[in-house]
Amino acid sequence: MKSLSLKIALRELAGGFNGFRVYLACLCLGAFAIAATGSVTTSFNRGLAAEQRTLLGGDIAFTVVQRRATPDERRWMETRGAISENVTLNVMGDAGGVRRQVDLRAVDNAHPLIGAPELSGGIDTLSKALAFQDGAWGAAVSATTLEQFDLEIGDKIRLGPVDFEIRTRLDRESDGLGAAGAFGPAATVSLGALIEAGRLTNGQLFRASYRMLPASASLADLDAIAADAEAAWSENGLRVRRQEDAVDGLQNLLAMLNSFLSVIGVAALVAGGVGVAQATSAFLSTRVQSIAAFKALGANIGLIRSAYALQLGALAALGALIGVALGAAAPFALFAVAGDRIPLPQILSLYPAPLVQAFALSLIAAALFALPAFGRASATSPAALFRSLTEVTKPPVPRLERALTAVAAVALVAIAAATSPRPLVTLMLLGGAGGAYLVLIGAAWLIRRAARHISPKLQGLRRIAMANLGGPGSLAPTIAPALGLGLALLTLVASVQDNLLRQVRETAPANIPSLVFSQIPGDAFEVFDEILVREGIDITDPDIYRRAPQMIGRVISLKGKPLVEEDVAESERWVVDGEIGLTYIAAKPPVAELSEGDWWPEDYDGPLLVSVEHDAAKGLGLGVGDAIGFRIFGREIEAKVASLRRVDWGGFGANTAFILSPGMLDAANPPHFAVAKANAASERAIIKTLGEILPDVVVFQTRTFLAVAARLLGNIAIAVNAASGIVTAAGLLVLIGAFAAMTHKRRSEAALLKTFGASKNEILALYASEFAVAGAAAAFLGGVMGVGAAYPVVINVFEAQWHFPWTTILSISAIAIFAAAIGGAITGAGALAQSPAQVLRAR
Amino acid sequence: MQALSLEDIFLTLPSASGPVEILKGVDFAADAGETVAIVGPSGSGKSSLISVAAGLERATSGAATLLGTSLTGRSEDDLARLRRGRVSLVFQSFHLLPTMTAFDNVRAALEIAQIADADARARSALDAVGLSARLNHYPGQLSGGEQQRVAVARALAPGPDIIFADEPTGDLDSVSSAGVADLLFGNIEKTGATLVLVTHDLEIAKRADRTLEMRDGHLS
Ligand SMILES: Nc1ncnc2c1ncn2[C@@H]1O[C@H](COP(=O)(O)OP(=O)(O)O)[C@@H](O)[C@H]1O
Ligand SMILES: [Mg+2]
Repeated sequence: MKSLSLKIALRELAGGFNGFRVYLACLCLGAFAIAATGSVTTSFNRGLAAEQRTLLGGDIAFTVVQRRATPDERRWMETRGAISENVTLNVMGDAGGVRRQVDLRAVDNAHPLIGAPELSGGIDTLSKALAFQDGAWGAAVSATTLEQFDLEIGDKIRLGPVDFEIRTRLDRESDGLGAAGAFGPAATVSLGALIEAGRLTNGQLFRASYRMLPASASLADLDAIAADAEAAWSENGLRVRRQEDAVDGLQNLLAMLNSFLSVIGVAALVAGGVGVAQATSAFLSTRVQSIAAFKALGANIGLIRSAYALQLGALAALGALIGVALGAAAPFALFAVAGDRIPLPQILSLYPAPLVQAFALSLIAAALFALPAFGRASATSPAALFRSLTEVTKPPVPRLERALTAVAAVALVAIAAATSPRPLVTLMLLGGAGGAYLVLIGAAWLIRRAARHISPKLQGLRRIAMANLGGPGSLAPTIAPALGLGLALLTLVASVQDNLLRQVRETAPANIPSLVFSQIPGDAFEVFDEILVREGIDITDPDIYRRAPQMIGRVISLKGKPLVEEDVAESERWVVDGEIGLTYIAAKPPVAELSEGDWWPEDYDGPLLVSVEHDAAKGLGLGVGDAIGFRIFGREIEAKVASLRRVDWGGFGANTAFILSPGMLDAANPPHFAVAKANAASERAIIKTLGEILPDVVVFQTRTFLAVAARLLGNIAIAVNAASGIVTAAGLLVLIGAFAAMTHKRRSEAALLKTFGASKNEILALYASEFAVAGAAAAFLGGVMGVGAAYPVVINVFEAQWHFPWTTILSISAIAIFAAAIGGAITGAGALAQSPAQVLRAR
Repeated sequence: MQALSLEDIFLTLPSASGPVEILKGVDFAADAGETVAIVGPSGSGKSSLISVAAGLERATSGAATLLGTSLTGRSEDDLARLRRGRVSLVFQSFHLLPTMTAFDNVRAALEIAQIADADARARSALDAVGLSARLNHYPGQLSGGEQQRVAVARALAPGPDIIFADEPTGDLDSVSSAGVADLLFGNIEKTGATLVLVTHDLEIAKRADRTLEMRDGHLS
């Protein structure tokens, strides 16, 4: 029996792949999408993992803020290994009449412990370049610095309190990703220069990091050093950074991106699955007569099943294999094409895990979609020999195949979720895609009913178009889910992208301050305010100007218990996983909207109270009356939650997670920060005047940050758009398959219509409109679901303003309808190509 | 007046094994109102002859005139327009549109031919073939004989000047065959249309005004 089924399968396979091109292509595309995203993200992940030590700049590192390590801490470190000190801070750069903020890093002579920076155009050793020589300290500056200040190597630039001579160009930092200064001007100078100028005294705003190369860097030794450090110095606010911390953020981002793209890959399999189902039933319907004949000859259903299962399985495996092979090549192709534009390190290799995953998912998807048609065909009664098999007489799907289909559906979801770096996210996204798919199938059913209902009310060819949509062999159940899913995804991505770009380009520039000032000295507010008044800023208008104390602190306890970072909801983890900005304010800011509790009286001077941003409070599990402990500049302070407050993160103002009550903290006399809206001319004037009077105030021009954000957004959008394009491509493939499966039927229909006296153009219009109606339904539903999914993403995930993306949606729909109509016309033209005589004669 | 005339018609079609000469100099004419039966072995070219005569296929050479219009050199759309409401075909395998009811099948053909009063005509045509109880049935729900009667109703409904029927009873049992033949001849008698009927059934052929035989591309 076994060998007989194999023989039948082989004989049929030898007949060629003609009816199977779409079947193969759909599986290939889905497998490719999954294998490619998996392989690309794995190569980035491995690349990052391999670089994490370099990116940390040592085997282990320690950081403190607003101070340098104490002599005790320093001694403790030095007894354990080689140490290099690094300080990062924001300063104003000033050269040739240009003043703008520069990311400054000050390093000691031991830097870098690992690797070497890439320098060009001048002195090629960092320590030599930075040294004090010929009466000046040296600086290594990024290309962006040279560009934006219009400088050359050899020129002078003032960075913060010190004049430097530019001795070399810094192209790449030893511990950085991509080009140095990609997000704005950056410079590296000698620690000695800043110490000499008194810029690194306690309490000023900077972060100091100490990278260590211990004598033995085994994992156990590093663990021991970390544990010792925690025990000895965590009270002081010293934080241990391990190698994986250096790449944590990026790897999280990659994991999210990977989850999202993998689900898109599965969606491609599902959209293509419609094509698989259709190709399977088209193929098997040509075999109905032979299946019936086998049965009449005495073959049992088991033989038929194994013969065709072998054949369909072999073809599915072939399609999946081709896709997997292309997917495995994807990282190589990507880096060949765009390697120098991707700042992430990568290790190019064949990673089996994503390939196996893609292969398995594709085979399961093939089973899921082929099984019902397969079951029906194998259940064909031998009586089929005596009549033609119409939709009405199709046998139901046998129980075995129905059960297997359910198993395949569960397996698909289970494997996709289990292999995802974020199973819950994957499950949710798959749930969404599955729901959309069911809606589309339901919609197809409705379209058919509606078309059947409308058709008698129409005339002539239009009646035929609707009757075709409503009858057996209708396009609706193929086009609606296959194309609808891709269009929904495209609409979703395009709508989110549209809204975010609008936020960055239009909403944000209109609402957020154009200038952000930091490090306004605690004794110079009046001078500062005066400067702004002189430049025409109305400092009494809270929509134009606001100023508040600027402090840095960390959350160390919640409700009296030490903080456990892992217990905090992931979306709010940023509030606790490092130092964050804090401020204290007497009067409630006018834009702050309290959701719970009350604001303190303006002259409040009691025990410390805090107003917590609403979502952060929920993430930390805090309510009004709960205690929260902070470490602020070395001091541990406990505050009681007085109110919860909603913050418009995209708006104007003090958008910090915590606002503390005044009084108690006044004594520290911290520097202030301020935000202001100003036109371009007063921006320039303010920056210039500050340079003369308060040169230490750092001014950020938000316009430049928004430009960088828009660029980053554009880059991520490319990846996501490419992935959703694959789903649409799968939908189009299915469409092409649908056309192909239809040409036979369409040919006799067109020939018949010609005998009635219909002209060619009328027949073309008939098919174009039939396909366009099906395409329009898919576009409409896809659009509605895409927008429906985009809205909460824009509002809740990105907390941006929603703007209905009319143009995007209308153009996607128009293109989809147009493409469907063209497809219909092409099908019609194919059907018309043959003379009616041939078609009507050949049965 | 002649409803149809074919003069020295040749038809050569390409095939995998080189060009095949199918019609080899056919001369044929049918007067208005005449019924002509064509018999002959399978593969002799009967269907091809009908295709050429009805303007579905272009003759390789020779002159064909249908209802007073020369078919030579006309575009496919011209030919389609010429057929509208005046030329009907009935096929061995019915060729009903499976997505529409019997009523809609007849109605749609009338509408495409731009004939007024399609509904009433379709209803009475189906009534005339005895299917008034089957108006809303789909082809899949009808027997072969019933399907062919729908096809006959569809052919008769426009009141054509000429009907080509290619083995209309070839797929039917003898009872259904007789019924379909009755319908064709009975209605033709009433309307005075011309009928060109290909059949293997000599009983049916006998009912025609004359019978011709097709043999290897020649008509005699
Ligand atoms: N498209 C075609 N190409 C080549 N030969 C054809 C084609 N259609 C039919 N024939 C051949 O033409 C001959 C006549 O066919 P046909 O007119 O259908 O005969 P009949 O109707 O008398 O059975 C047959 O030998 C057939 O094989
Ligand atoms: Mg024939």
